[in-house]
Amino acid sequence: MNGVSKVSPGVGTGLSKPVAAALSIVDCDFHPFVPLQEVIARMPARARRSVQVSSYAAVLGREHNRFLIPTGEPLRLDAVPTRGGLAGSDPAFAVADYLDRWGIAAAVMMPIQAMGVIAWAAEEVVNSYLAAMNDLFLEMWHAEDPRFKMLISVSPHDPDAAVREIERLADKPGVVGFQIPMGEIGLGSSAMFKVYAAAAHFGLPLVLHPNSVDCSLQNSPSCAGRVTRSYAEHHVLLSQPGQGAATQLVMSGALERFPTMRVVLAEFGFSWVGPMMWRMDTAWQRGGGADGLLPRPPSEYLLNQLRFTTQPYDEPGNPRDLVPILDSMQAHRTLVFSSDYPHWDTDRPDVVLRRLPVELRERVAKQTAMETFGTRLGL
Amino acid sequence: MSEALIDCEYHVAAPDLQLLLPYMEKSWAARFVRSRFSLPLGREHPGGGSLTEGSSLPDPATAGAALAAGTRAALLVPHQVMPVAGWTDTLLCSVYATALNRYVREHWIPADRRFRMAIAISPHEPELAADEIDRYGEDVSAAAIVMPLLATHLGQTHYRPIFKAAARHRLPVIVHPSGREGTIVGTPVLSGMGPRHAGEYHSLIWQAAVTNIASLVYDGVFIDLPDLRVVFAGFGFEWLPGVLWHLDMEWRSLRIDIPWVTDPPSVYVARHIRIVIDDLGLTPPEASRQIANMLAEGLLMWGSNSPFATNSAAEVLDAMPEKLRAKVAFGNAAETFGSRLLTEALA
Amino acid sequence: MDNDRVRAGVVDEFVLNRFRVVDTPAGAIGVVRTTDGFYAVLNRCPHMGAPVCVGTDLTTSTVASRPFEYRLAHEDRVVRCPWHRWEFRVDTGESIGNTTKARLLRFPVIVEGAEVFVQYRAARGAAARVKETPQ
Ligand code: FES
Repeated sequence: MNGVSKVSPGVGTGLSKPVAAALSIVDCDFHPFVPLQEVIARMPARARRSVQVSSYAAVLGREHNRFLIPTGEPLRLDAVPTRGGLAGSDPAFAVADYLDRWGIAAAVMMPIQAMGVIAWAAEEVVNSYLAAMNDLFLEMWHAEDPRFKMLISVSPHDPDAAVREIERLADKPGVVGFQIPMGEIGLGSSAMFKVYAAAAHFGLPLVLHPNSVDCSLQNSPSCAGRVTRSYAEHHVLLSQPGQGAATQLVMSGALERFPTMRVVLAEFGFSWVGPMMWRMDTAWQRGGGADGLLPRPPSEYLLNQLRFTTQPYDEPGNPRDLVPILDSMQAHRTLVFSSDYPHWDTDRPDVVLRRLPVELRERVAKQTAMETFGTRLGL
Repeated sequence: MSEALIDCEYHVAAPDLQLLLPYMEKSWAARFVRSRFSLPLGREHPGGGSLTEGSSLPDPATAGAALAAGTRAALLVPHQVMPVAGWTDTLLCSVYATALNRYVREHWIPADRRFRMAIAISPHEPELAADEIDRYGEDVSAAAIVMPLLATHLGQTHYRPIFKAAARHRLPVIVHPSGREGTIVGTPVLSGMGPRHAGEYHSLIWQAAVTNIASLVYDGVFIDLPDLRVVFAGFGFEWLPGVLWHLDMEWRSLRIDIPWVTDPPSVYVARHIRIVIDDLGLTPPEASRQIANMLAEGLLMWGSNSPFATNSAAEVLDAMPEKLRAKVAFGNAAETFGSRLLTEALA
Repeated sequence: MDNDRVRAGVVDEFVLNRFRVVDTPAGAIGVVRTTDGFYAVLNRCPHMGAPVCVGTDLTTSTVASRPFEYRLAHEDRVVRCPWHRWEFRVDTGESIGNTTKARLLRFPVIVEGAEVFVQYRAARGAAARVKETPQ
């Protein structure tokens, strides 16, 4: 270099070596933003007047001071787009900063901005808000790069509207699945069956994700106990709504009823899966209420139909301790990669895949996701 | 010679309200009767399951003979206290817990020299609960405290009078499911809309333990009270490794907000938390061994869950790694509950 | 000598406590001016390899205290990772609060007149655990 310096005050310098060729990855949990003014502008005038869409804070649904984030910001501080704005708000930047850098063949977009509707009362406001947002994700993200894959966000309050939204968008290129903002909704209740039937008709997997207002709003997904004091305590319990969802879906008989249905539990972790599966089987064997609904042990439905993501990837003191945990959940067919980009607790693709046992890497990076989302991934 | 055992969870119950009324002030006894207080059924385990057809609740005279062979000491858990978690008359809960304790002290403790009390308390009124603990503070027949969980997490200040009294007398606090979690307002919720049936309850009840372990460690309870031990019985143990990894991981990221946590959270768990294994369910024995191997050696203790036992002592211990067997059977409980447990001379 | 060092800028270009990242044959290195001089660390977090010098300035942390007390410490000497917020001392490379044995990799900085150089061959501290290339 002969003392000739290249000073780079810019972004992401430390991650400058692309590894695109080495890995081909499907990321099952990627978080983009769309401009909310644009979403709101597309809503009918009457719905626009709703207080709930009138401010960014209301849309996020977070009671800001409830448990303060210790360092003030839930996003990756190095992923701020060069042109400014929130990390995850600029498709072109995300292509360079994330897709191209890590060789991401498909990134399944989980829209956090859709989640706040769990607390909204007016169904037509929810429906038009989600429809406008869905359109915008297709236009702004999938159109920018077809590797950005779309989840249709549907109302958690109105199964008929959810079915209509699925029917409206299911055949659009780029759509790979649908998501329901998590809340205290009966995922195992018969009210949801028409939604599952529509999804089954189109072959769309359901993806569930922490709501981001978990344990906050009335009707938001609860953590066990009641109210966590600190963000740290809250964050350690992030997986609990996923455990509740898995239990409901399996033990209610919903998965038995819709055998082609696949559900991805994104960002709920995975080290609890094997242990909870044993508990489900125990309860079933003892006639604890699920026995009349399920002709086969709960573990069969769980292993066949539920998928779990790698992030947040466990970090045991002894990495070998993960092996029996991965074995217990049959990770070769239930575990899919996720990054959670650009959130602060993101996992780096090559690091996570390298920490997995060798024989799992290909499966987790891509193959199981391809089996789950099918040809819609276009891979 | 059978291997030495300490039974950390031997359920006892009063078969009839009449047996408790003498241990209340007259006016309270009259109130219990007048308002048709319904004594929780002793034959029902609060966390699910009941006695099998034909079997009956043990009574003090025969229970000693029913202890597993090799039992050196048994902690009597009056599980009829668990439902107080779902009751709203918090003073009544305390009066009731006091009566249960006096009943156990007078009817059960003299029946077998291996019996020790777990002092039943209602967590609703922590000051009254502390008084109750103080009452048995010097009584060698009491070796622990037992209570159900409320929705409020154990790290929050509500419980401090209980924990201070417990630490003062070096009595570990056992928490146990109440069966009300997820359904009755005021008890811990479980994630996912509330369990629709016992199977969903059993699948999720361990979450209540996780939440409270996180709360205890992150809110620094064991830093304020270094002598405190909290024991989780009836929640299983197979979920622990993943939880400990996450507790440590979040601490590495968020320590700035809980700087009083100066050691990895898993270290506080190893020092201050104990887990009673009373049911293996369908966890494969090999998996149990692998999981137990990942945990601190002093963490796990055996409890029979009698008379609702689903596994024999041998079945549970066979599912432990060989190096842990004697610790789970005996050593860890002896260490945790201390000298009161094995003292010969009882009043 | 020239082969061992890379120019990081002139002194006046450095905003107090804000990293400038320079590419060197040893990888990207963050150089920062503090009230007691310049420091340089590899722009790679020992946890997962995040660009640890990007996104935040040197900052301040908290140290051991009684529960619910916050005592400030390490004023303006803390490198806080933009990803999982692990914290390290910029001068020693060590973890704040001893949450990990891993350290930042440090390099000597030389100031000659107004010019600032980093000696990229003279790394000190434990090597970062994360390599760039997947196996
Ligand atoms: S990569 Fe820096 S803290 Fe995780």
